[in-house]
Amino acid sequence: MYSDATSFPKPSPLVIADTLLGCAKVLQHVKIDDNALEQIDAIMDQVNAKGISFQEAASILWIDLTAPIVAFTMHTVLRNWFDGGADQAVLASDYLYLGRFSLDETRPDDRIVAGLVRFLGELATIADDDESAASDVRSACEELEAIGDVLASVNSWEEAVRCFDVCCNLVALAGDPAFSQCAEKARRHVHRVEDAQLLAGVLLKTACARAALAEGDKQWELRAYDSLYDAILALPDQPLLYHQSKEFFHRCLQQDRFRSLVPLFVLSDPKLDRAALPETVRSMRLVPRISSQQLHAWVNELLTLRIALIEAENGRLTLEPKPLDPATAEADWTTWALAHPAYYRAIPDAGSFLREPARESMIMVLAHEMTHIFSMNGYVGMTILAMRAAIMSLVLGLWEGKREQLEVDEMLQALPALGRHDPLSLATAEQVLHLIRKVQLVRAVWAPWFEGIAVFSELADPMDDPEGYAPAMQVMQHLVDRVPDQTSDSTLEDIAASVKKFLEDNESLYSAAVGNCGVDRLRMYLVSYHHTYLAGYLAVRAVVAAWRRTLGEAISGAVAARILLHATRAGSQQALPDLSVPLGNFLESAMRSHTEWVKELMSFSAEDLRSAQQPYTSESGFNSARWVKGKFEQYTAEETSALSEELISYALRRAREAWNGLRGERRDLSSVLPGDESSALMLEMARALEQAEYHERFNKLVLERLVMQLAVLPIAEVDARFWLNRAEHAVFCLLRTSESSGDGGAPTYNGLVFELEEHEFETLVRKFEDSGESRMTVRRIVDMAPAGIVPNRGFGRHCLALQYDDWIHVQMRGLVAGVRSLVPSLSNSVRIRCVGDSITHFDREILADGRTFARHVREWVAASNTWEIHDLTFSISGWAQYVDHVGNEVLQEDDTQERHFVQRRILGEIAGLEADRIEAVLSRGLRALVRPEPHAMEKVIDLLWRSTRRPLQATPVPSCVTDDLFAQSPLGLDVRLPQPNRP
Amino acid sequence: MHIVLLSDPDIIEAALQTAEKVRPLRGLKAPTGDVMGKLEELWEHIREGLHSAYLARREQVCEIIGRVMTRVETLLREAGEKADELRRLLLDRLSRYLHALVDNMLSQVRAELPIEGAPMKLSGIEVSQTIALTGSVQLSIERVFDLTSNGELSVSTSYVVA
Repeated sequence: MYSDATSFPKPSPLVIADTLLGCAKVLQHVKIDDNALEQIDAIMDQVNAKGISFQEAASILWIDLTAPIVAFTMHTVLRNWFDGGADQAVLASDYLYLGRFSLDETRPDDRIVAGLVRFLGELATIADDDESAASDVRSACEELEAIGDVLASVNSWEEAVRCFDVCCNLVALAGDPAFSQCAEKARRHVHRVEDAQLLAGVLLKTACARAALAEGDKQWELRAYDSLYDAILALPDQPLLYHQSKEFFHRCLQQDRFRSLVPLFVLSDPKLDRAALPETVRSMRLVPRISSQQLHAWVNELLTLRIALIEAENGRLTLEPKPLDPATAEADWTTWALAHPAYYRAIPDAGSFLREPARESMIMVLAHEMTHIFSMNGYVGMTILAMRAAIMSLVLGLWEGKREQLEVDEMLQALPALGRHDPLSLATAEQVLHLIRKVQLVRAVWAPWFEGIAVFSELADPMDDPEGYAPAMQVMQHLVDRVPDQTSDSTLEDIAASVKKFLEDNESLYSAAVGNCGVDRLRMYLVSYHHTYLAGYLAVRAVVAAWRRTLGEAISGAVAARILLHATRAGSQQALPDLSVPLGNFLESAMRSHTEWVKELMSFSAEDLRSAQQPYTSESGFNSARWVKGKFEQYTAEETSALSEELISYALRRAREAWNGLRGERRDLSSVLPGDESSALMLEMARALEQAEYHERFNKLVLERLVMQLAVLPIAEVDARFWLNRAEHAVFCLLRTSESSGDGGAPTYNGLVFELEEHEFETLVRKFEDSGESRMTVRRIVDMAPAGIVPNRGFGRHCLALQYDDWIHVQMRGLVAGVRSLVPSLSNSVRIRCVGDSITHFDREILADGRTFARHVREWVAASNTWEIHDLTFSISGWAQYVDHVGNEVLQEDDTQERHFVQRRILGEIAGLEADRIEAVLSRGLRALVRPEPHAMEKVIDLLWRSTRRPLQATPVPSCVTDDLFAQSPLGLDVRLPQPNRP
Repeated sequence: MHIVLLSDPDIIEAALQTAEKVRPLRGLKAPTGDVMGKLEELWEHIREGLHSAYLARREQVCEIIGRVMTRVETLLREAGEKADELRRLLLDRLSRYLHALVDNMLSQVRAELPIEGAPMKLSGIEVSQTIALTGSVQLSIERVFDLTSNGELSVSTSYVVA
């Protein structure tokens, strides 16, 4: 992008000389073979004998001026530039189309030589003119940049970089946007060139370009910061460049946003008087991004430098994007991702979690959100995945007839252009919108229950469950990395004891958090945020109270939480309606299925509940279980492996069901008013859709990919600067482990050093040379695979995944930190989750929550009033309006109305409240169930809190509570069960 | 026209409910902190105190404020590192209560006076009392209790011929 208006100053002789050197390097790309040398000799003989020009001599000898011959002449031109060569360059460019030049510019060498001839002709004109025209410089640079692109395309990196570098020099003083463009191109390739001076120069130019862009656009600040950092690290080897660039750095580093790089810049001075520095920093040296030092010395140098590195990282942190909502953590329904604001720009590593000042609320919030993810990771989540697979299949169907011969991978790059307005596409688009809307409704129906379980589980003390661990608790046990004690872990018994202690310590940590923060969190959920949590919580408490009555024993909150989650994940096959039910009836159907299922939970038998309390161990002979029609079934290892297949079969059946919506008899016409041809066409298209082919294999593939990526869960992420060591194939990564746990609330960091296999290291180096990016993404990842099925998977294990482009390196963390062997299926899941493939990319980025598709369809529908089939036009505005309306519902997703609908049903049918009380609770929350007496709310919260653990013996129902909330049971005071005579 | 607007328990309760409103969370979210839980505990004392103060005799109001203040101070002290955030949330809620209470009382002013032959329309209101909160929790609580227990708001209204 070269600006039209820029007036370029005349290049200085130094710039011209540098340009000529660059051109000479570029010319080296064209090899001059023996044949060409012979022809050159013959031509030169003629030139010398007859005193004619090179072109004339070639013409007399009928020798075509091929790329090698022209390249040779250009070398001569460059050598004699200030002694007539420049004039020859002008002549050569004039002759390019007149003489015997035989250059075919479709061939790279010919294109490069011809381009260079033209460039040098322009350069001679610019250098000669006193008033050099901007257009001359512009066209010269455009020519040279194009040559650079050709060279890059044939992997001649150094020559390509020199072209871009020369362009930068020519336009540098004008502040032209082309400077930034050429600098970026040079930077992209310069790491492949082993030339420290060129590297330092290009990094400096990129830094200049990005710093200039950052002046007017904050989005460039971070990239400018990284470029300045990169450029500083490359400076120490280049004393001349250091002094040339000093003024630039001084100007930049005075700005607040870049000031944290000052210590590194000071250290980059080749003539730095270290004796004048404080002793603590005297031995600091900058470490280049790729080093060949011995590992020990290299790590020592990096550690010595840590004060400056941390200062630089802290400065960068102020420019990094912040979490959208720093006050909430979220489990995302669409991506099954967990986001905690504290781990948006930091990851827990080693023992860093223990230093978090807010670790108690953090661990509870993480457990809360993990419970959501585990809740999704069952039949409810599989049903939603099945709907997404059907959506993907239908969307791909929209490509049909739009473009010929498109491979599936190509179709997965973008949403289909809907193009011609045909009713069949409208019918398919409507199917997709219906499914997106149904996904939204399933989420609305299940959200209160999920929240109820999450609050109840979060507040359950794990010490009250001596038999087992809730899945979320298992994940929390790995937040801290266990460091094997070399001195005491000498026998298997020692190791077992040490592991036991590790787990107990982490359990105590959680237990203490519940004790210190639990009641405050319960009050917050039920009083401040009653709209979100109260209905689901009361439903969960009613189920737990029913179980306690059935069992005749006071099972603890922690045990009940474990069974609740298990039943939600592995017992909800029947809890969702037929997915082909018309959209208009779907919410009611989904709600009915849900409430019937919750009632089924309440009627679990004592025997089943007792079995469900026991963890499945190898001694028990079972390693998995599920609930089928309200009965608890346990499975041996052999039966368990068949269950995974069965789960996919379940999802496939659901995907087919979802795909069937609006086909044939399932077409619902009630949504469209009679008046035009809509109804007739809708029926006709429904019949046509019924004939469409269902791609079972594709759906299976989609489901398997989605399931595989969801088998792991990133819980924290950070961009980490890294250094490479060629001598030992090692990597040093500076990980931010917390944003606030250091002195005075400062961020903290860990230096992670690890060695790689040679091939793994070389791949990383190659990727680095390809992009030059100085940071990699590091994620803390939880293994979500079911425990006990694949060896060494599940049980909430953690790993660390370091990603650089599509390079991935995984290390185990938590209890198994330091274990070097990795389960291949875990690595595969991590890869597909972090790097992805076309299917997961389409699902996550393009379909996402369906809003982009809804907008896409609405724009398409609005663009035409007439709809065509084979040149016949139809008036179906009623149908089109309805599709637009569904698209609008998808976009609005105003959940207040749906939330109230769902909560009314839960409060009535599960918690058993009377209709007038329900409305009061929806409006005023828990307060609607409390009489206005002194300290009434505090008494109610206290009773709810204490009865979580077990029913309260010898505790009367207080007078301040209406009789809707508590009741006496044989075990003591507990949450009241719904009355049998209520709906 | 100078008029005195009176509050009643319903007006106070409505203002309390307005102040207590929290934006519902969308999606499967959870608040990262637990200070809101502490605020609710603390607010419960203020809430009860405000209802009692309205019904109490003037000489009892001071005692109620004193009791509430003691409890608030204890809870703020117990909040430790979270005290600053708790104080900020409390001041914000007090301010929202005060605004809601004044708004609710002002809503009693008639927009039109149906004077026969020449109906009058409200053209302006001026509140004669100074109603402002400060950065001090104690002073803010005192002012909120003053206005609530007093149960009156003096305003000057002006009407024009419709």
